[in-house]
Amino acid sequence: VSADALREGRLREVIGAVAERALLDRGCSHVLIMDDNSPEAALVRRWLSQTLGEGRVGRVSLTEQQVEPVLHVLEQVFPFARAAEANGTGDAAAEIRRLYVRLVPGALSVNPLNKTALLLSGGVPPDDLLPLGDLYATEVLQLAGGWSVPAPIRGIVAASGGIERLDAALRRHIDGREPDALAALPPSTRDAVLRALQAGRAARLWGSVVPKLGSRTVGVDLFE
Amino acid sequence: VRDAPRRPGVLRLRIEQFAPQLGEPAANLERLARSQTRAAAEGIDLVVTPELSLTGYDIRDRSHALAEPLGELPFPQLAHGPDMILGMVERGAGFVPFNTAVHIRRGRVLHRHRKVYLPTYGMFDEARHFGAGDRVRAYSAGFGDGEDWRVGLLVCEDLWHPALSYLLAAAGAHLLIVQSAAAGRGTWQGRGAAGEGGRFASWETWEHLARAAAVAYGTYVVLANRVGVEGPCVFAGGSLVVAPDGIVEQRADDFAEQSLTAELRLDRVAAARRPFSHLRDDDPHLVLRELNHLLQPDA
Repeated sequence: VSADALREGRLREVIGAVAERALLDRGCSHVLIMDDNSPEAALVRRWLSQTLGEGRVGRVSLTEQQVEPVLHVLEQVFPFARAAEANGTGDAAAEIRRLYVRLVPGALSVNPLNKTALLLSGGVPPDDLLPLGDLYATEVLQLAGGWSVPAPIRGIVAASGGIERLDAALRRHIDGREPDALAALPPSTRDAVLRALQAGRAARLWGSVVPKLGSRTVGVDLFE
Repeated sequence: VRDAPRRPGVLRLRIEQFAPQLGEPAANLERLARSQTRAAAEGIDLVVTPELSLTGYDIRDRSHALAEPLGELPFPQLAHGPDMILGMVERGAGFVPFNTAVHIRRGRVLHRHRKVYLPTYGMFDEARHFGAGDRVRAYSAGFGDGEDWRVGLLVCEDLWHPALSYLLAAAGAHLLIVQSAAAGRGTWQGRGAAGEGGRFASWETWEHLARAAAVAYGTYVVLANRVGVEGPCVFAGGSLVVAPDGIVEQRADDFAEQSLTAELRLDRVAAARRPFSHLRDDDPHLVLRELNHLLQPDA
């Protein structure tokens, strides 16, 4: 058994154990993954199925097409929804998926967001459990064979010179608490990263359950 | 209490690595009493349990509600069977709660150690909830039938402050018992001492600390860590028995509840100290002089 396989096994065990605890603590019977067809969602589905059992893991994967009629109605009540979607500041489809989970009795909502996305998305999604919230995008890339970052952050990734460079700087800034870590990024990008981190600072103090895997974890000991 | 005759200088010790129920002391005490009964049947002399084994770790503001004074016979449920080191919230004079390791013999308190160093950084907030202990003392545990074991207790973060291990060794300890509730951290980086992968990086550091204390002072170091999950944190398990020559003699699994039994021998302590003279040559007067110099540079 390779060291990588052992590491993956350990990550899966920790995340599964924390998910089991979260179900118990909240009196829920199963998890529902907000499945946007990302590599992260596939990884979470596989890991939680292996640890909790397939019968306790569901997914909400409403497609844009399925959501369209609801969006149409939504638009009449919230005329700004389409605009927010269009300019990348809102995700009405994700909100509808979330509403779906909220209406299912005994379900714990699971969001497969990675740590890079979590740190830079200006807040913490209002889901119960973020299983990959302590793994950077580059770590998820190794585990899942791909990674995803929300649209508003893609510009930062590109301007940083790639996800590896951005993650390396974030890791030194967040986990290593190095005061000058973000100086490794181009100046305009550094300012954008700082603004994004600042925007989510308050939300991160009281986040969802993020299984602790690293040295500074959102909701546990990442208090800026 | 014990059917089999005790062999001089031999201590049969068991680490009870388990997941205490958070905020449920009655259930945890019942569990420990069952462990004690089982240990009695197996000729165990001493059962060691993890930090705050009576209450669970993340009790926060419940520290006052869960605090109990240590009276004449605080644990009648543990009056029949081998000795036990348990972890509890002790209500001290002035109603201050302490994170305390207690050596129980036949239900009574043989010795107690109030955690001195309360981690209040990173994921820890202990100084908010507990008072800090102000002393470390080695004590005679009387297991030896002629050859007595001297024991020192520490709780978790205390081991990260080598001065405490030093003081216990200087006071003649043959055995350092460390209770811990150490969360697994560094899941991505952890490779294990043999580079095998899939371990917590934090646990490698614990092993270094325990082995360093054992080698430096020629003492056994027994580290009893807990398992289980509280909120987002998984406790790592991996309890250890380190021999006085620094060899890891026993290691529990990282995740699972487990009873780990080891036979500790005073002649191994002697053997570890024969080739070297570190402990003999230690000069507490020099330490005292230099500490005075540091603390009172103008004196």
